[in-house]
Amino acid sequence: MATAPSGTHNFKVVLLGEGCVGKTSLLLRYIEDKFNDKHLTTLQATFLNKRLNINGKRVNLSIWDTAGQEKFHALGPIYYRNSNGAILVYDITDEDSFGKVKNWVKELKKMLGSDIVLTIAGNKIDLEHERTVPLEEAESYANMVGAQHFYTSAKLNQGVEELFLDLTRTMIERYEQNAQTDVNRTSQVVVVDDEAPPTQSSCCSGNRSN
Amino acid sequence: MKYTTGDIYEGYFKDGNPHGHGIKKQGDFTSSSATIYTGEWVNGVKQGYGVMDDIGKGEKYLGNWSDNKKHGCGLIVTLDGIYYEGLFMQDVLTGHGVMVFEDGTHYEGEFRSAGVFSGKGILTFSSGDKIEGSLSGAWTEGVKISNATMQLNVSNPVLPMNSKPNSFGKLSVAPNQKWNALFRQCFQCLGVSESILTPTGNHFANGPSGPSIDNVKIWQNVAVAISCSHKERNKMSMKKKSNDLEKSVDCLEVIPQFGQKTLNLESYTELQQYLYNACESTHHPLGQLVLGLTNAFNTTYGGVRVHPLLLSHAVKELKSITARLYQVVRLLFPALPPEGSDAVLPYKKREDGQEEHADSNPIDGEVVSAASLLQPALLPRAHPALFVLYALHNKREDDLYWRRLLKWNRQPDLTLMAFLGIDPKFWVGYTCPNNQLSPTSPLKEQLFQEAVETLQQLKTTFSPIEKLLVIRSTFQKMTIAVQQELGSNYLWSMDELFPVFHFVVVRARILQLGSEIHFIEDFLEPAMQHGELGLMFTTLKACYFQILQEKMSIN
Repeated sequence: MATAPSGTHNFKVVLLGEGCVGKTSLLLRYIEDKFNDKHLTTLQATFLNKRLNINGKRVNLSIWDTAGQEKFHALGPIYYRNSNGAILVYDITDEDSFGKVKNWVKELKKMLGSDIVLTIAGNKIDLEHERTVPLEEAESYANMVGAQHFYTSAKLNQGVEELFLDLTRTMIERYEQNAQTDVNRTSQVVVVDDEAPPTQSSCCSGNRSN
Repeated sequence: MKYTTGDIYEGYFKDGNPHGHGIKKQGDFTSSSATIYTGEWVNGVKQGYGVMDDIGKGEKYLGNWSDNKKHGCGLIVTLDGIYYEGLFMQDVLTGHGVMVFEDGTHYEGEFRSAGVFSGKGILTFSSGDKIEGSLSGAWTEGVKISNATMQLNVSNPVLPMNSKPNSFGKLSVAPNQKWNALFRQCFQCLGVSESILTPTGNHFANGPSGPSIDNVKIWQNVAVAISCSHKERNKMSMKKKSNDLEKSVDCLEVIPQFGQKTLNLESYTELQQYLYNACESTHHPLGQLVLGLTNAFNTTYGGVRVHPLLLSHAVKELKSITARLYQVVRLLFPALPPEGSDAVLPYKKREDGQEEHADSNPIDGEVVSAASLLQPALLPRAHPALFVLYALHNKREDDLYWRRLLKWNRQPDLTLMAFLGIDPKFWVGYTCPNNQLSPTSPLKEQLFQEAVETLQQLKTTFSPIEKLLVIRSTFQKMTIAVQQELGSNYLWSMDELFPVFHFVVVRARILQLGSEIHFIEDFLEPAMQHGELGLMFTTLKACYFQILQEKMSIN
């Protein structure tokens, strides 16, 4: 949760989801919407660095794509380490992919707790007629786990921009909440550090005066 | 200085006695009683932090000294692979301490002396079983245990490797308390009062530019120090050194104008060059300091008596050295940002002058920080000793990795690609019918040959940033190779990129990749972790992990 001295928030967001649900197309759509090809980075559609300005707050988003194949599932923790946000993508026409999302949610909650902001994306709404994941089920699930839910279509460019914006807003909120609690926590840490031998005497005297 | 006994002392003196930082070699190296002490002296006795390499006994002590005796916090590693850490009194480890055996069995509790338990303690076996109670006696002769409880570890059969006692690393000398004599020497040389050196290693306790710091005077002292040392050296060895050394001294004698008030990209490059020269030169106070520090570091962590548990100490020490050295550098160049706050110097706007352009890529700039400035000077010198520690620490995984790699690399490309789950569209040159007869046609023998060769350069670089750049050019080479085959509009997605990169990593056969990754991770700057280089590095790490995970046999 690095914050540069200039007050810019640096957020890392990982894209998780089964292969073929369209993680990469979502990212690509988001990139293409704003940039032309020349702005692609070395890692092309697997990485995006984006600056946003939300309510006067500068945000630096780093979005990481991940490999979705089942055999790479165990690599998840390496990628989502230190993430501020995660976008969990499923295909509304593929129930298995929604099951995968549920697994990710469970894992992320367990590993990162409330440090990470979760957003669930039901992709491919252009294929509404083939939908197999019921609308209510997805939304109530997201609600239950405290995640935002968005319907997106990378193909028709629907919901993509909104998804990223909303996620960023929530991350700022979460960050500011944590910073609030961190103030208390760090002041305690400082005290502990001061208990190292050189300043021990001052500590003791402090205790006595209490 | 040589003593009549044959002992040798090399270091600083006061009134004819060792005083300040010095190295003393005692005893006959062919006999069994030889020691080398590197550390602080006060009026002829060992006092302060020092490292004692006892060649006869086969052990090494890293800790505090008082009146020629081990006294205070310290740790010992022995040739048998035992590690002690705790409080020493009059040469003996007494009271609360920690002992770790080679197999991971460890004890934390009261000691009477090194290896002799005496009092309350917890003995944890490598199996995870624990005995907590009163222990007494030497571990070599049998330990009497009374009033103890035993906890069997049944639920979690696989104990995390390298489990350590709770107080590990907490009972030894803090890294910023080490080698202070060397820094003091440098401060004296610069004519800066020692008082700005506070125990926390923060030399600017009274504000970022304390009133006592006179920049002009410091530079004069630097110039004096250089020319004195230079003349002296010339007298001693009239024409021994080559010309290029002279040249570097010449350019150091000019007091630089850059980096004094403001910093831009150009002056930063100059500053970097100056620092590089200064650190290379034995005439410059900074160079002497770097030399002293790296020698001290290498005697501590190099040699035969190395212990994998020293790794965390070595890393902390190196980071502390970097931070403290940076404070010294900031005396010379006040325009540098204070420790802990990086500054980013934006690159010049590109010719096309698109504003949006600069906006889209925030990492486009030179990050100025203690690490980015000093790692290139420090890490190459400390790398051999440091890397041995990494290799020891990661030996188990690296051996496993290597065995798999050797086996997989016997396979032809096609088999390996199929095994690694690479999408057939990347098997260009193999799938077309003409080639089917000779799948090993030399032209396409290795599709990502160039990328593989690029990645192999990882071993020839010594600082994390250089290694990251190697990884980046590997990705660039992969992109070129793929775009040649699939058209220039091809874009990677991680689903496809990962398996291909995995293939490149396997083919690159990098020795001790786990140790390399661990090294980069420890020294990578936080500012880079989220960026593109961070993702590239993470992907390399994921590949290594995947190699260890994957089933061994192909088919």
